[in-house]
This record gives sequence, C-alpha cells and structure tokens, in this order.
Amino acid sequence: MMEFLSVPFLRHILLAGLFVAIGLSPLSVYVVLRRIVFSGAAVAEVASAAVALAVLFQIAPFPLALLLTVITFLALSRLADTTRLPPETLVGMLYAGGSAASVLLIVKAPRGEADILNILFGNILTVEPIVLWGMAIVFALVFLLQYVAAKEFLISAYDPDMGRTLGIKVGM
Amino acid sequence: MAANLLTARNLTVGYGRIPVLHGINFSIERGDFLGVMGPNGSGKTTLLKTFLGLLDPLEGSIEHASTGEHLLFGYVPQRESLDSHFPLTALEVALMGRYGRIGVLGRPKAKDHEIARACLAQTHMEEFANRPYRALSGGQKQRVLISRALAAEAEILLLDEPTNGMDMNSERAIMELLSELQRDKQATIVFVTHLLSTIERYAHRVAIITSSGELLVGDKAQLMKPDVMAKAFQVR
Repeated sequence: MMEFLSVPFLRHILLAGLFVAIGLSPLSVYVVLRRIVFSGAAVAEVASAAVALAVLFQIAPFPLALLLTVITFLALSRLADTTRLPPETLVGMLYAGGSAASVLLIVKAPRGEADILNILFGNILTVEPIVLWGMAIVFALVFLLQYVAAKEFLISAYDPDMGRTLGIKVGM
Repeated sequence: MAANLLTARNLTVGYGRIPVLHGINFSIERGDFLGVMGPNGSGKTTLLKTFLGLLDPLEGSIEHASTGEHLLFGYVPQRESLDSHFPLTALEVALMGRYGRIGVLGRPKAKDHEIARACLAQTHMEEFANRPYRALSGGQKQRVLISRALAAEAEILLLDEPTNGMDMNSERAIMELLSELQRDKQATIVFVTHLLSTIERYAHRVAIITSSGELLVGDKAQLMKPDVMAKAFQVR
C-alpha cells in the first residue's frame, strides 16, 4: 500500500481527490438542503459551453468559463427569488441549455472535438504540482468561508424566508 | 411608544404583476391579537409575506413604527416548508432566531444560547432542547418555531397557519400558548388560519379576506356575524 504513495503521479491523484472531497463535502450539505443537487452538473455544462465558445473564437478558455459561469449563476439566483418556479426546475433548464449549447459550439470548433474534450474533461493522471497548489488554496478558502459564514449558509439553505426577515442577505 | 406598529395604505399585494388583494387599509396595533382568515387561495400567506418584506407591494405602502432601525418580525412559517430530515436539535433551530442580532460572519455566543434556551422555556420546550428537531411531534415542532421567533426579540410575531394539520388538543395547546404570550408578555401577534373556531375563541381582532378579494378588518363582535361570513365565503 505504501508503495502506491511513493509514485509521484499517484500521490498527486490522491491529493487532488482529497482536496475536492474536503473542500466540497461541507458545501454539499447545503446543496442537498436547497434541493439543487444537479447544480454541479449544470455548472459543468455552462462551463463546457463557455470553453467551446472560447476555442471557437480562439481566446483563453479558463477566464471566459469562469466569467460566464459566475454570471449565469448570479442570474439564476436572482431569478429564483423572483419566480415561483422551484430552484431544481431552473437548474434543470440550465443543465439542458448548457448541454445543448456545448454540443452546438463543439461541432463548430475549428480544432475539432478531441482537442476541446481534452480541455473540458482534463486528465487526473496528469495533475501537476502547480495545479495541486491552486486547488489547495481555493478549497482552503472555500472551507474557511463555510466555517466563518456557517450561520449564513445554514439559514440560507434551511429557511431562507426566515433569514430574509432577520435581515440576512440570503441571495448572496 | 407608537400604538400602531404597522400601517398599510392603499396596499395591493400579489405575485409578479398579478394582484391577489387590493385596496388594503389597516393597522396592526401594539399588543394586537389579530387573526387573518379567508378561503383557500385568497391571499392570506401573500399578505403575510408582503408585511414581512418577502414580497414587494404591487401598489400602495407599508409604514413601520419601531423602537429600532426597522420593525423586527418573528416569523413562524408553515411547518411543512422546512426540511424534515436535516439533523438540527431544537436548540439549534431556536438559536437561528438570534442570527439577525449576531452580525455578518459572527458566531452565536453564550448569551445567544441563554436567550434561545429561555425562549424554549417560554414555550415549555426546554427539556427538548437537545433532541433532534426532526424527531419531535407536530405540536412540539411548532413550539420550537415559536421559540425561534421569540429569540429574534421581535416586535410582531407573524404565524402562518400555526395549527395546520394538528388534532384538537394540539391546536388548543398552541393557541393557549400564544394567548399566554400575548397576555403575559404583551406580545403583538398576527396569525393566519382558515379555522373559524380558532378565530372565535382566541383572536381579539379579525381580518377577513372575502371571495371578491376585499379585506374586512374589525373587532370580532363586528365581523363574526352570519351575514358577513356568508358574504366572505359565498355560502348560503
């Protein structure tokens, strides 16, 4: 078993998986409470569409994917507050729309499907130390935010109406 | 201190651009024990949510008179709107009422825990403080939610169908508790119900939403008459 850890790329794989698990598992509690379990899949589809768009116009994929994903979910959050549609319906619509947009844009990509798929899905077997450092910092910040803002996360997920009556910015 | 805590003027409430109730003019007075009733779908919850600021008025205005920056509400939602599986204790649910007073990114302190426990004691739920909320009966859960609203040190308690789905004894226990709070703590209480018997027995003032979307407000003696009820609910 310990021989497994002596191989660098296997250590990197293990660390990458641990960072994701530790950073995101507390957040998953609130995702389940809010009944938006497919929001992760919807984020992935929106990001995919943004990456395909970036490749189509030959610009850096990561910044555009980050920007469009953040904008989309801010818009979704605003919509959830103003419509009577359940949040999971909105997430489902976003998943379907993002998925369709990805397919259409990938088909148009000049470099072909294989190149984009490599950007979209990556390869955990080739995780580099710099990526691990980035993951460690980002997930540490996510974990810290959840600890510091624990009551805001809890009331936003468990009873957002009560949170609003108490003056808590549930929408954020 | 102002006698009227909240005043609605020419208020229209609804969802989106669809009005549900219109031309509402009345006040909630300090120490009120106001029952709001009406047919299913008449806008009782919509009215409550507009008072709470969860929905914007479509027309008109709501004015607050408060001892602080803004009027503090203690909101008791319908029990079914809360997740029934999340592993919180009764004390942790009651403690949520303190969140508005703790400040952004702050954490509850010993004083907040003491207040939450004291509010559980007021609703006779102190011995259940460390029990899982999901394991409590419907009546016990309602008491914990009332504790949560009390922990917010609210100026008005707004309860949305607090005895919904309860048997007669449980319903009576909850309403007796609210009467006790109103009498002994001079609490201002507004509750939504569709039960005539609850209004007759406990409310001091009544707001009746008619089938035509009007809101009739007055003393129980004025409004709890057969002809008014018939008009409100369109029964013969």
